[in-house]
Amino acid sequence: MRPISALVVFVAVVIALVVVFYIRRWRLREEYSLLWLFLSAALIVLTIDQGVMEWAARRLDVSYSPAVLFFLALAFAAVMLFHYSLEISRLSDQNRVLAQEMSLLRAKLEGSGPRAASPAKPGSSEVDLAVADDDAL
Amino acid sequence: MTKDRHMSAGLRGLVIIPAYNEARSLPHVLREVRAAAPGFDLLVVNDGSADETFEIARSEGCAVLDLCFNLGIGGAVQAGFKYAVEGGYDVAVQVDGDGQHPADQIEALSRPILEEGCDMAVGSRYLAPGRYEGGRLRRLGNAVLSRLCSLLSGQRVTDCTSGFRAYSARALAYLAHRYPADYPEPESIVLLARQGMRIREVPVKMRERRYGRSSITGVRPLYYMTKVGLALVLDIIKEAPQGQEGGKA
Repeated sequence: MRPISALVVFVAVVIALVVVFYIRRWRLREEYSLLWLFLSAALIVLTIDQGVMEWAARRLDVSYSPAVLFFLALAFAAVMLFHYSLEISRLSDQNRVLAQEMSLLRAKLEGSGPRAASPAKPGSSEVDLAVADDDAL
Repeated sequence: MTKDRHMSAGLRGLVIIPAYNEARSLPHVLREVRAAAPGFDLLVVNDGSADETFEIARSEGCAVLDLCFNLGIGGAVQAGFKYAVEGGYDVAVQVDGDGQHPADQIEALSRPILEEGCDMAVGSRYLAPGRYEGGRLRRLGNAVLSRLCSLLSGQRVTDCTSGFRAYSARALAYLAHRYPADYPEPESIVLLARQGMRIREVPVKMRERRYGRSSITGVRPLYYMTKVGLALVLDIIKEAPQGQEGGKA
């Protein structure tokens, strides 16, 4: 095994261990843990069995087979980043809704929440829209 | 005398005042609004201010929505829309907490909603006589965006960035669920127009703000213009909203 292969396998094993550590601590959701474990496994397989990369390079007509690996790594990173953009958008939307709902609920608790229109519509001065008594416009 | 028709009709109006660190100008704004539009209920939305905005609004005795962290103008105003929808208001007028919106125009602004069946009335600085003083870049940015808004909405828009606005119950119901987070003013014009709602501009003379500064200064108008312009164009391809806001849980 070449030194670089040993290094890659070592890194992959570390990734797997870190993932397992966080799963045990309930701090990583399954969907992510599976993804990272898959990445770790892929690294090990591609390192030990060089034939897979060479086969892929031949099929794609790439003369320098590690280039295929670089491409896959970049694609993986890009997909992950996009996934995070989606997650962040969703989370910040939900955050906003929560803050708004909470402020409304608190206003209700403190008695200054929105009062629905009174059933006795006309005449009840409390809910009337009195326009200032002047000739402006 | 305009001892008003709206009064006997039992219509209800709400003034929404988004406030972020406006403790200094808020008492004055509240006093003005109360004097100029006595028939309207008052709602201050405290957008996670670090100063006494919340305490002042409470001590002035108006309803307050206290956001637990700063959401930005879009999120704050939208909280006000939700309040207005729950309260079943017929018209809601948005007035900035910094005092640049003239309270005596609140009624002029709500008239198109209550009498002409419009869904949103926008107070325009550029329809009023006398030129609005602002940086050249600012005016340019506003002009470009307003043209874009006119084009996309098919309605005449001269001041798309004005935050001095009145909304109908129908517009409120829509915007309570869909409202852009930052720099929402131009986008909301196009969003409402695409829902087939009618928008009317009303000439309004705005004032210099009493305290604090605009968030859009220096070359930022150009950044703002580009960002909002792109957002407007992106809105074209957005599907009609479906389901819950915030997406799937």
